Amino acid sequence: MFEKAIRETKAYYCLECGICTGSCPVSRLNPQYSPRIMVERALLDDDETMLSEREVWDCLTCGTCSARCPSTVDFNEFTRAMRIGARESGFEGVDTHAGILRALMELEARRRGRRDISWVADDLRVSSRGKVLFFTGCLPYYGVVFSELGVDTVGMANSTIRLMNACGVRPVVSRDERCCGHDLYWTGDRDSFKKLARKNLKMIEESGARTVVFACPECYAMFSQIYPKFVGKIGFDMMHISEFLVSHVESGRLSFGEKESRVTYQDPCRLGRFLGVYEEPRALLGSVPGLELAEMPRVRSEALCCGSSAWVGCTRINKSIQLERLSEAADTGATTLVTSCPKCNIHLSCAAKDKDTDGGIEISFLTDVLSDALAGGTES
Amino acid sequence: MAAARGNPRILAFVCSWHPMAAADNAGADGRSYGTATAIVPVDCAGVVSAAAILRAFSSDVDGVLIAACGSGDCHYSNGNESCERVVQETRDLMGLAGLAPQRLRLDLSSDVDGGRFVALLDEFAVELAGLNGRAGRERPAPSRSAGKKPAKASKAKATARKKPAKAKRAATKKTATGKRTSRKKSVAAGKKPAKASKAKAAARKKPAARAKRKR
Ligand code: SF4
Ligand code: SF4
Ligand code: SF4
Repeated sequence: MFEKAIRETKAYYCLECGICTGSCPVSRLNPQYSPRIMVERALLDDDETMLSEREVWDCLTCGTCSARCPSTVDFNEFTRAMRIGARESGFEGVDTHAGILRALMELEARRRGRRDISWVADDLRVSSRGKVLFFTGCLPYYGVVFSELGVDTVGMANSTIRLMNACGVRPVVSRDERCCGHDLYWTGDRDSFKKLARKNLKMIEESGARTVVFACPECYAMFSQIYPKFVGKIGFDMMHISEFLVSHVESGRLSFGEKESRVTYQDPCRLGRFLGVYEEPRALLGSVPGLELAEMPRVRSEALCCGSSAWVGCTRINKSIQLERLSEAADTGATTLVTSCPKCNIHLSCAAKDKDTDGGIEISFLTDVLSDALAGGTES
Repeated sequence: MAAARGNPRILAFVCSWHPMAAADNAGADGRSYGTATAIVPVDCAGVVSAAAILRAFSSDVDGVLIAACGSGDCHYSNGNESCERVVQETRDLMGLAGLAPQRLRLDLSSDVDGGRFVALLDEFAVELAGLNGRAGRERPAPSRSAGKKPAKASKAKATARKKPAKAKRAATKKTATGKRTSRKKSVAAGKKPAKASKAKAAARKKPAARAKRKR
């Protein structure tokens, strides 16, 4: 049953070295969970029984194991293949937040209807057609669902637009946008994912955009790495907001005012290990006068995942991973943990709130920090 | 009678306490409502999740009605209040997704009158029929031809015929637990709505006393 997946993920090259299991943040806390054993079992044709096990849903798809595997086995795709198989056999993971996010994604895949974009702040300039498009992803929805955590994702979208405006760009924010399909893709819902991808590509074509800017690394990874596998070549440029802003800082178009503080930075799995964007966010933080970046021990490709992904399965294990990362961040002496992924922001804030961690560190989104520094810049 | 214009697909989550009694009474009274209305009895309106509502819209229903007990009358103390929060959150999400928030309606009432229940559904159906096709935002409701009417009527009758048995069963159950004793009377009264509704009015008073006892 898994032949195709084994071929595509190069699982047959597995050396049984166990580096994956040794690297995995989930395995460290849950000895039942072992990526190596899963690969072995698939190779030994034990895949049918595997599909019903909850371990299928435990992987964070963080990519740490694949990054270290000497045989470059793509365990993320392997996990996805298992999930597709599990779904086809009638097994599902446990949706977090009572399935509300998954229901939203499915709704966007199935229904027509145009999004409401009245959340865009009044002082910002956006357009309906143009060369540069800002793909907002699920940020407006998260604003409703996670308001109780004190995470303002609508504010993140607005600060992204504010920075783009400061660069002299009036981005397209489209009412025909859809969820990028990231979570449905990684939880094995191929059909809904494809529907979303097609709708988004049509939307971008109609907007006339030549460049698409993402504030969410997951959307960015989907568009640049996964969409091409299903729809062929993509006819526009893509960049993360950090890449977009860095080019404007370098050209002298964008600059920031003084902002005294000590921050640390969380590399998101998608932006880092998936896309290799490590330096741009750091360069941006470095371009804010007075801002000091204190690094955690595990950074860049070694960074610890924010502990949860694709809105499936959030357990004691996930919480422990988050708390481990938060204490690592606090140990740097930084007052703020900066993330460039809205979901890292949500999950880490959730753990901080849930466990009421003392000596807690403030968690901020990259564009929020930068846009604040922008305000300082205009004043001085 | 169902909505005059179209026959919108309504999914109604009906709390098994007061609102379901109202639905049962509607059946006992021989009332009919839109054939495209599906009633899903739930233990308490508090169990209806935002995901369940959004999934209903994914499956192309035109409107979702949640019938919950009136304020202070929740059998589980605060299920109707948590339902109000879920409805507010879901409406916000619907608005962002371009779905008219009016498509989700919450009715908080401990009135067990069947006539009121049917009127509620009819009124909602009329509102939904008015929403369809608006500004190209919404998926137009499939037009239902007049030719389908006879089938509709007979189906409605069939449903009405079936209901009294169920209503009686529910009444017995509820009487046995010492609640809403007058329900039995109202069902027995069958087609005499005037008299029945008086009995029901008396019944409506009871839950308040119950709520006190709970704490
Ligand atoms: S790290 Fe790679 S080669 Fe080693 S056990 Fe894991 S999958 Fe096999
Ligand atoms: S992707 Fe991450 S969570 Fe999944 S098996 Fe690899 S290291 Fe573990
Ligand atoms: S960490 Fe919190 S916000 Fe993230 S999935 Fe778990 S419960 Fe949800």
